[in-house]
Amino acid sequence: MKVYDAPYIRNVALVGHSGSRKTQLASAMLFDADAVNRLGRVDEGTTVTDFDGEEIARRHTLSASPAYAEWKKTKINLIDTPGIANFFSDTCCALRVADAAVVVVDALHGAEVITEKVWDEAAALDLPCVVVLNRLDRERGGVCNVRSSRCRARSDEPWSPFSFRSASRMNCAESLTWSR
Amino acid sequence: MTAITFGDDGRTVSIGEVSDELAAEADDRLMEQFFEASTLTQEELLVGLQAATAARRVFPLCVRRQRRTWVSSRF
Repeated sequence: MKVYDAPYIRNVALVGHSGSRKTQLASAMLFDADAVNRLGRVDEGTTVTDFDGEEIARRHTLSASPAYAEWKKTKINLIDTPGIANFFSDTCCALRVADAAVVVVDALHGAEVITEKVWDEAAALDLPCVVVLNRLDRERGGVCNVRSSRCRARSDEPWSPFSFRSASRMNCAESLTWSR
Repeated sequence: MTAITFGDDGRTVSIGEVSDELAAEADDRLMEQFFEASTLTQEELLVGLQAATAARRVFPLCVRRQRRTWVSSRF
């Protein structure tokens, strides 16, 4: 097995509300990085990170599980976490060992309860965060649904990948208070 | 890349292109470069954005459809 120096290892936790398709995103990332030769699907129970029989049957991640891929000579350890509130402790454990958090948000539903909780947890741990807006191709999914109410006036903006920031420590739940 | 910038009060929002200044703020060396040339190269811009992301001053947003992922390789 290839050995990586510490600067070339990143632990990244995929966090978000239940049903935001974190596991499917992890599967797609592994496939895109050529870590697996087949795109696993949650519906078919073929994802790398949901391997437990109970997880496959319920189509929900029940415990944090790791997977890794190499991207630009760096080993990315992905930690897929549960989005169900009952298993939130596993999510917190994953964030504690992560270098960064990928906060997955469903474009249909916007920021939900666990989205807010993981954002607060990541803020408490001072973790860098990337927000992934998922399922934008769904019929009712769209950035118009999920952007901040403060930004709603600018409906003609091109919503390609963009960045946002705040001078103070930003409250994601507030800034992503999206119309439901 | 588009940047949504929140004001100090957390309420005012401005929308525009990711500016060189935004990227330069996270790194002293880049800030000096920005003051000297008043612009950054694409590579420097990305280095600055990476540093700003690590410092929790910038939060990149990626959008993903069901089948294809737009995870930017630049971050």
